[in-house]
Parts: sequence; C-alpha cells; structure tokens
Amino acid sequence: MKEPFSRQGDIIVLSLPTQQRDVTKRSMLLVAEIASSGGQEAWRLSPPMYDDPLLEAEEAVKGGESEIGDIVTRLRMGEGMLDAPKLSLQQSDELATLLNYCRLVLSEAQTSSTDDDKLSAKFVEDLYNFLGYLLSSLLEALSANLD
Amino acid sequence: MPTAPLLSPTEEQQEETLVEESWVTILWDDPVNLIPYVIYVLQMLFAFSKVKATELTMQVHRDGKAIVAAGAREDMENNVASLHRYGLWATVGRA
Repeated sequence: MKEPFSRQGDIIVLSLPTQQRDVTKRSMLLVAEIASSGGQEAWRLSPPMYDDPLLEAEEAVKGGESEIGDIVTRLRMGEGMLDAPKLSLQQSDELATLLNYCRLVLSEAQTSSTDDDKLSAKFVEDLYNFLGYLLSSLLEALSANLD
Repeated sequence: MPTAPLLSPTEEQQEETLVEESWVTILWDDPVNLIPYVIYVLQMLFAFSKVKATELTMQVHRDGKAIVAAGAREDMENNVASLHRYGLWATVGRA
C-alpha cells in the first residue's frame, strides 16, 4: 500500500485517497468545534506553563492571548492543506502539529466517554488510530533529512 | 564589626548568571504523543542531533520527564510556549 506522505527533496507529496482525505478534514473540523465550544476534551491544547501551582497562579494573573482561539483558526484553515497535491516542509510541519492536536483532543474524548456511548467511543478510537497512522507517515517523510 | 566580604564584579556577574540560569524546561511523558513526533519536535526546536533528541525522548518515556534546557526564566518560558505550540506537555521549573 502506498504511503500517504512521501518526500521529494524539500517537498512532501500527498497520496491520500479521497475518502481518507475527507475523514481527516472532518476530524480537524470536529476537533476545532470541540475546542471552540470550550469542551473539557480540549484542555491538553493549552497546558499549564508551570508545574508549581503558585508560579502558575502568577502566570494566570498575567493573562495573555487565548491559545485555543488560535488553534481553532489553524485547524479550520489547516483542513484546506489536504487538498494540495504537494506541501512545503513548513506546511507539512503545521499539518503534523494539527494532526497531533486532533489526537490529543480525541484521546481526551475517549477517556471521558461513558458506557452508554459505546458506538461513539469506537468511532473516536478508530479516528484516533487512523490519525496516528497518517502522522507516522508524515513524520517519516519530514524526518528523512534530519540527522 | 565584621562585615561581609564584598564580591568582586566578576563574582557578582557569576552570581547573576547563576540566578539567571536557575530555571529549566521540563518535558513530561504523554501517552498520546508518538515517540517519532517528540524526537522530531526536539530536533526542530532545539536543533538537537537525532541521537540526542532520541536519548531525551526515551528518558521522558522511561522516567516520566526530562530536562531539555536550562537558563534564564524568560528563555525557559519561551521554550515551553514553543513546545506547547507543538502539543507537547512541558513546564518551566526551578533548577
């Protein structure tokens, strides 16, 4: 079976079948929706800066821009990258990051699913594993020239 | 009355450097992030060799965490923010 991502010099070539492409795009939009709705599953996208609670409280007082808002925007824009036949290394780096965000949120969704939600849990697990497969392929292509 | 010895400028500078470098960037184990992904991010952000990035990643996997950088607080905060942008779980800690 052909790898979904391969490297040609400084270009990453996408060989994703249409169905896999659609599933990936929908995953990104789903995760963007979960994150934008303030779902608990998205907490991993914005972890604490300090492990010391006092220092973290200081950090919280400082405030700052919402990382989640930025991530939601990137996920919504990122699904468009999957329509391109080729990506630059910078675009591929962004795609890898977005796929990883999806896995982080889906992993939390798996943890929080209830027994009454078995069908949904199976769907989330399959999606999580599929995105892991895609990310592995993309990383292999991206890391090819890194020593 | 005894007085505390005065530090020479060089010693003062050394002390300042010590204070500035008494912070670390800690990378925590996370079952979601793939090992090749962590290695890739460490190489991209810190320009580590593949061997060094792999060693640190395996240390995180084995011990639950690893210190990936040490230095001034602001630099460590920047490191952690960069690692967070990649979705890795990292925190700033005191050395």
